[in-house]
Amino acid sequence: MIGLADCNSFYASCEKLFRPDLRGRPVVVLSNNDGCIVALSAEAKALGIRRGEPYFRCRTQLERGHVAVFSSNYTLYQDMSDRTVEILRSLACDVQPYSIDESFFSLPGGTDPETYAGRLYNTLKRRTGLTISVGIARTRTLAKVANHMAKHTRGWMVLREEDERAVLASTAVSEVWGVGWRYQATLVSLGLKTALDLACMDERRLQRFPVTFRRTVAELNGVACIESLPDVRRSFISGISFSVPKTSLAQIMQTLSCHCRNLSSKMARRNLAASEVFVQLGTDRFAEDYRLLECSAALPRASNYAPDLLAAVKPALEAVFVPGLRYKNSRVGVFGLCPLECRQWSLFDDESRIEAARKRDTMAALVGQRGDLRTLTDSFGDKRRICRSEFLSPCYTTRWSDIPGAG
Amino acid sequence: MGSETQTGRYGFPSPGEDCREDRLDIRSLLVRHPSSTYYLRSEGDAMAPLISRGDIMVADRALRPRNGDIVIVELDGSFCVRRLVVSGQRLLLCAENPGWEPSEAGADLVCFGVVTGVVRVFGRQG
Repeated sequence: MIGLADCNSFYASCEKLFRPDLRGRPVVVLSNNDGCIVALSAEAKALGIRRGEPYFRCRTQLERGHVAVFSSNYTLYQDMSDRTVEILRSLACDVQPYSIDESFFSLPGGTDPETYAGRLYNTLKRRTGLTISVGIARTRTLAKVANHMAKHTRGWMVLREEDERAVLASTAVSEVWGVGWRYQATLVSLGLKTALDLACMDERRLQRFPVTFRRTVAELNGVACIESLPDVRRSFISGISFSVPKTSLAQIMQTLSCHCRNLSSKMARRNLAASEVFVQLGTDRFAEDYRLLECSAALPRASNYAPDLLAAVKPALEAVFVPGLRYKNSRVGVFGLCPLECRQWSLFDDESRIEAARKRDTMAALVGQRGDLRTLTDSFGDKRRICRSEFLSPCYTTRWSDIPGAG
Repeated sequence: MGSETQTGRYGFPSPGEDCREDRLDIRSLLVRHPSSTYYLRSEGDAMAPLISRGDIMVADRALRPRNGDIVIVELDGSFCVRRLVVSGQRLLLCAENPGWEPSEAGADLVCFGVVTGVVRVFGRQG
């Protein structure tokens, strides 16, 4: 049997854990730059506030409902996530974190799933202070379904084989893990509405779908085939929103250079090199004349050296840049990641160039040991905060200056 | 342990090589469950003289609160440190400071953690 442990309203719960005055009160957490709502407590959901809503648009509603508003404090959330995974590892087998707030695990042998699920739920709740739903079933996809049901009942749920069909019949296709919005229109046009319809899909019809989709269908039928989660990173993205819009190419290039340095240290820390770079520039997302500029470039040879990335980005960006627009955000992504050792040298790389590259690798690895985000912030040049985070909570668990007080 | 302290190719092997133990670490005394341990700063006088204002308290969430434990609890929307006394069906939160009256807690008492120790760091002049 496979289990899924998923924290309910994770970000909001982390904030509430250290604020007893907020017990029973609605809480929302805003995205980077305080843009929109990314997480809500159950009380905030009950007020009809929705995830994804821009902050400026629901500000009055939040004030009227006496909602506590927080900027996202990823330092706190990451530590709470690490603690949760550590505790789960001490209670379950083969724990695989899937996202910041959910992990798959296997049941220890010889345990009764029902008893185990209840004990796991209670122990996790006591030790973490967070409410973590537990769903257990034959496959990962079914464990997701079970977890979804657990959230709406007593917090844990074991989906037994004999109950699978009945449960799938009452689960909408859109709620199935791995059925992206891309497929939804197609599935509706085929008359497939529930997860059970999906599980019973005609073999010939199924052949027309990609293999990942066919795996999902097999998993709904109790055949575990999403064995392990990919642990090799295929890409990294560095993005930022500007509190003051930028207009000139020079200003934009300055931010891109910071992204490149950030990505460079991220790759160096994992001993990876990129073969492709991707750039995105956006204007105000909520304005009607919203524009998004995109371009990508291949690197002449795989590298994790920031100047190499920047050299590839620059001509590509100059080709698509539109002067006069007020840019609100920039992102740089690196793709085609491969381990540094298997990086291919081209025929014309002489020894000295290879040696120079080795030195750069060492440098990048050294830089990579420092916090990358801090270097990113510092090198933006202006002392003003680059990101708006007006409602940031203390880092209760990682800084002595920030620990909570008790009377 | 650091390979630079081990005798390498040159010199004499240390007779203490096989007797090396881990050096004492204060955390092994104070922190039993690192993943469920939190630190809080004492801000009141309720537990004086046992716990002083400014002391850093080590709170473990993995321990179930028992009679006589010093606990961090939620009282009127803030964290408080008290000694938990179970007398029959009643839960009492007692202050160590003789000037403070015990208060009775309901069954809905929320305990943040059990205090397993305190740390006091002395500042030095100059």
